[in-house]
Amino acid sequence: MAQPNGAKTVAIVLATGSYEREAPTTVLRLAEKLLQRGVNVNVWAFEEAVTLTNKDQIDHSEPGALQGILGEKHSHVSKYIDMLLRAGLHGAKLDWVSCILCVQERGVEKHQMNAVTIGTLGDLWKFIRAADRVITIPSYR
Amino acid sequence: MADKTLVIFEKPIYLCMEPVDPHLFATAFGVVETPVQVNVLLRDSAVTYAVERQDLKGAKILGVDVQEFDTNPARVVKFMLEHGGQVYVVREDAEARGIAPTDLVSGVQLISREETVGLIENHDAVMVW
Amino acid sequence: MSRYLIVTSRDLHEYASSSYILELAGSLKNRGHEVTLYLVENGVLAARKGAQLAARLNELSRAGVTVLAEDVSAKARGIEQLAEGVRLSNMDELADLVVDGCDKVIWY
Repeated sequence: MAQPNGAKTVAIVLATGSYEREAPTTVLRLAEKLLQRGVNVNVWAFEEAVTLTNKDQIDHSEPGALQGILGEKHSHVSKYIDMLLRAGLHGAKLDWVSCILCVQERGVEKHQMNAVTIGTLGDLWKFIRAADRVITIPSYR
Repeated sequence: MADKTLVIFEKPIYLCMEPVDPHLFATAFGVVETPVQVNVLLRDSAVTYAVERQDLKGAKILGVDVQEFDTNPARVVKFMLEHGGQVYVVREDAEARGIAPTDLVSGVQLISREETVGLIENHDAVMVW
Repeated sequence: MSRYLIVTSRDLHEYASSSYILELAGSLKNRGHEVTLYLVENGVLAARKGAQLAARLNELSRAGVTVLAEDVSAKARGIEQLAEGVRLSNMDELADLVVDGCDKVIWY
């Protein structure tokens, strides 16, 4: 459990999508460890990160010519987010908010996973204000 | 609690099909609409955001303006200044890019690279986007 | 005195900003703060023994900055030997640092 003087709430601001960037993977790995430590995690996803929680992602088969080096298929990121959201139901909680501006312009508003809240910039700043630690990952790589 | 937040910009984004870099207007929202005290540090190439005379209206695709609303990062910088946000620009980074103090929006504060450390010390949270 | 956790997930060789990040770590240490520089993702590339920036990382370490490189990131990139002054770490330690090993996190 979190130490008495340690962080109780961490806000993570993520602007990067998966499949061409590592940041979401790192965020999910870190979020898991924070939840294990009894720390509440608030993720505010915007820009390409709102595609992470598109519930219509499906596994695809790798091109036949490359399956020898890539394997047959790979999991999509929403599978891992679903696992973490479920873990975040018990004990420390995980709240995941996708920015409404970003989901609308990307046409993924109606595709968001059920456990995701579509929120606003107001939610971003409330997360920041309430957080003991704020982690913002720059979208440049 | 992060009541006083420093938002650092390093890499500028232009003409991305948003009116301005979305991180920039997200920051402006923080300055004007929330109780968090939000201040901005422009360093590295993002010092360009504070250059007074920017015009995004030249980009067209098949004759159609990409920039539908006539705005630019400097306008957002001025907006943040008007609403009580402090905007700092790293002097060395501006000089390296040939940007003179007179090129900058009035009201921004030129500080040295070394002075940015004090800014970081004086804020509860630091965000780099 | 505050405790700073500076996380770099970008390759310090690739970005001109890297000199600023390393200077920041050193300056905060000189001002009496506790500083951890945590390399993750491409950030670990600077920590390979023999890398151009390895000496700079060692310098920071000798000045009292704790310099850590995340194991999964290092292994993924085939880094088998870390530069002097850099210690191998893991995601559990990063989480511990975030929770009660620092007062502020700055992620570059």
